[in-house]
Amino acid sequence: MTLAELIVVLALICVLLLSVYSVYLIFFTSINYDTERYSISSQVSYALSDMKIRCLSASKIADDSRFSSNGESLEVLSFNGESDIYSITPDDLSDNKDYSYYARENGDLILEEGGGKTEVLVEGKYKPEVSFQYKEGNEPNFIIVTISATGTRDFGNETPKIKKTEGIRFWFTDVVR
Amino acid sequence: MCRKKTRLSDRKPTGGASVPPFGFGSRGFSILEVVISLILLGIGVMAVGQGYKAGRVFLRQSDNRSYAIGFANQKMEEYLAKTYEDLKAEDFPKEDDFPPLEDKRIFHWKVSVEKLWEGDDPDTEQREGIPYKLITVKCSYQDRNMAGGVENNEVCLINIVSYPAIHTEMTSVISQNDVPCGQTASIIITLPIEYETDKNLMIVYNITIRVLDASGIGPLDTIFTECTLDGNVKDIVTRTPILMQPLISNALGVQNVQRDTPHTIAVRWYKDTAAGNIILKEANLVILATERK
Repeated sequence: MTLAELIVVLALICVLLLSVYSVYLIFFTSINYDTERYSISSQVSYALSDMKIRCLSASKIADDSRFSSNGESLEVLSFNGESDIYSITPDDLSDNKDYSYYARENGDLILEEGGGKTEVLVEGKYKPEVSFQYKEGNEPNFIIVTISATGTRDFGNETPKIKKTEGIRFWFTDVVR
Repeated sequence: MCRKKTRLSDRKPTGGASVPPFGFGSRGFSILEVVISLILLGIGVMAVGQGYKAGRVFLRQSDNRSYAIGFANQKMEEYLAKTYEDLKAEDFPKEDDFPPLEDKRIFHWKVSVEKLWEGDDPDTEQREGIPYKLITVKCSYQDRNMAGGVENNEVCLINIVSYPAIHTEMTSVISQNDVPCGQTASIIITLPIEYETDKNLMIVYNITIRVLDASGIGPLDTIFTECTLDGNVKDIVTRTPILMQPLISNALGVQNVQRDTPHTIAVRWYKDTAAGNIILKEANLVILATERK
């Protein structure tokens, strides 16, 4: 083998190794990044959808979840609403349940139903933050919910962050004091 | 005599010994083969790179679109929460930016409201159908395309708030007016109304009286009450014996009240005796207006 052949072989091996590393770095990292981002996004979307459909038929807002008419932001929303959200009976409160949305101590964003049953909407590892906001001038039956969550890993100085907002209307009650 | 130089690898084996195909002593790649291989490899890498870049661009565009739809949806809900009366077309369009995202992406919203008529004949000036407010929410944002350029994109949501099929109106009055004697009725309570569709009305009124002086009032002496629409008495005149009933209640129906015209509902009363002193204590007037089919 000549020296030239040796150099070419070494150069090709280096190129090959660099290519493999780049492929790993670019593709696998971005796949992991997008997978985590999608996971967070779907959990946040699910939480917002759940809030939207459940709040619609709420018949009473808990006193500590009522908003100031000047505008206010709360981290907990508690109300009494239908146990079956697809069977809305505003004139019959016997089939209602108490619900609360909040981030509990371990970080999970949960829906707590009367009787202590809970459902995790956004996992605590994503550090979800929720705010229920009433803006002055809006209708008294309308609030804006914002949920933000952050990824668990750092992908080359970039961590997936998701922040989504949703407008929620209440049909049978007002949320303002 | 010139001797031809040969490389070790070019020498033919002697003695019938075979040479391994890619081992020492075999023919290597020519520079042409290496160059072609590198070019092919380069093209392959570039294709994969372009595919990756396109994927990132599409993901970003999809993310922007998802945010824009979310923001537009939020704005739409905000305006759907308003009543038909609150959505005045002349107050629109309204527009502003949403608060920027953490990565400085900006989404701009614009809301317009237009008053239209369902079932309206477009060939006539008359707007005969059921009115409704058409809400259009647009959310615009900037995307980067594959060439690295910036393009403006927009999502648009449309919804309606229709004119209410049922209206309820109520007013009440507390006064010390006394009941006039004779056929000249005096107005107790009035309620102006105006609707954008033809309506049928259910009118209910309640009157509480106070008899300050009952001297001279006979058992058959009567208070007459009547309800008028634009000064015309509707339905019947109600007779109520003064001494037996301190509360007067009545309900009546009025058909086909014309749209887009101001009307006044009034309740009037009088009594058929000059004796006694009777005053109004309190009165209320309730109207239930339903859409005329």
